Amino acid sequence: MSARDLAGVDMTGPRKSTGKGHTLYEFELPESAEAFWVLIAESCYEISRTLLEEETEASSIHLFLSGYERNSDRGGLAIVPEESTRYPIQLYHALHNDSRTHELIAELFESVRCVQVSVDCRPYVQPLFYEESQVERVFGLMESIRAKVGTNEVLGLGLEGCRYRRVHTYTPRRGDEIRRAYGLLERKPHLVELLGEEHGHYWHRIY
Amino acid sequence: MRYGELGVMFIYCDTNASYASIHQYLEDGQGKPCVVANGNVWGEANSGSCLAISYEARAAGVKRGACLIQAKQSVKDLVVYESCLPLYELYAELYDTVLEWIVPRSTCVRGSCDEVVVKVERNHFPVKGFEETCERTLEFIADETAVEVPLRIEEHQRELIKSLGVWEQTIYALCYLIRDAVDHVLGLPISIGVAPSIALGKALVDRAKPVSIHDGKRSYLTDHDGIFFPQRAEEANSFLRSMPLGGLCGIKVIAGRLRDHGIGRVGDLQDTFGLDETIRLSRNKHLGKVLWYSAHGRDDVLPGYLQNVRKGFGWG
Repeated sequence: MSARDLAGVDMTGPRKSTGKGHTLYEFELPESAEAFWVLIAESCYEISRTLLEEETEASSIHLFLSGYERNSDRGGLAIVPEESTRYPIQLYHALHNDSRTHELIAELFESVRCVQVSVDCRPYVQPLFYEESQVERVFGLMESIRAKVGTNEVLGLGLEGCRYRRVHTYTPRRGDEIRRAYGLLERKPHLVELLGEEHGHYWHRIY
Repeated sequence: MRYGELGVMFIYCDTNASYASIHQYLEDGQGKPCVVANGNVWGEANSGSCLAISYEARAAGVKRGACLIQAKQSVKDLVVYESCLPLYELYAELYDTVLEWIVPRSTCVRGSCDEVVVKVERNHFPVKGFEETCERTLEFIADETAVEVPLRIEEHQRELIKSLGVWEQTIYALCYLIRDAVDHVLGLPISIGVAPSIALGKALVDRAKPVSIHDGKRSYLTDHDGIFFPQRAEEANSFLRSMPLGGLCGIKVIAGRLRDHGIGRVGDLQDTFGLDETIRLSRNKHLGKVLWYSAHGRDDVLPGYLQNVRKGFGWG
């Protein structure tokens, strides 16, 4: 039984992007909290793969879990406090070790909600660096979760499977975005001039 | 209690539809309904979500939190700008530079790229009244930067300000100067709430926001366009009490739990529950505190990013 079957949901189903331009998974709430944790772990894992593949530059990763009423046209409501870490897969540990997360997820199961997982990378000052061995160690984590939920099947479709199922998201590179930002600012030359100005004007004032 | 008797006030500046306003200004889209979206903005699925919705698009029916495909369905000639984070960071820098023409940098703390809090202390600030503060500052800006900032003020607004004490006049002068300098130089429309606490300032900004836009002209509920500076604590609290609980920032989920107990507005909470009861019903100690203190306009415990503002002012 794969994690997908275990959770009773199709992770290749509808998904969209939110936050500041990064990955978001959207799924119906599975039947049990254990299955939900599997989905969170898978999401963290796939986010790692995506960011690696896209050569995303980030000094920290922020992950949000949010729930919202099914068929609502409103945005998500945060159900998990914002967590920040250098590597996405550590998010799973951070979330799992936080009792507030467990409380909130327990409450979530009392209501009928969809769940979104989104990730926001900022402030993009250095490239994320993964080696294949790191990713494999991460896969070890998936195995331990599998053990926890009591099935001998490999979670998801395994390492290769995760690669195959990696969700392609739109994550522009920081360098391209910076070039675009300056290009837009150049349309108003006074703003470019203002950027080069020294600070401390206020103290030139004499009262 | 008259706020004019207090020695410290906070000017809470919040940009209206920040990202959308930046793109509208830079890409000559003023007056057109637009959204700033991320994700697959140009992809087949239109699967991006709207990070910012211009007031024109809101008037045309795009709801807050809508995803891109819903927004496009709501407005036929919707302009879609792709989000550009470095641009907003640069804009925050520019915003800070302009602010420093008016107030010392040490008095400003940025909550996010579109929200700034200015702390004005009577004992540390030249209290010169409205006319003199405006005149001297505008002269200073013109000499220092060669920028002529036009002050947008009607005669009846000037008269209202003149009827106040010199300290309140000075605060009004700073609000007008910040609003008009940021708008003139950066093309950013901002709303301002003035209060003796950060939490209350944040709440009052809601009332200062434009309620509608017609032919490019924005309508406001306040006497001073985009500025809400109640003169008495009773006036500020009256507005606070009328706010829906979910309107207080950072606590929407907790507000939902209180709604189950018949608490829909801030005033209901003020009248019904104490701190301990609010924490119990919120089922979350920290957020329960945030909710209760925010509902009383107090800064004891603030939502995450405002807590950083508080730290920026040197309070633990």
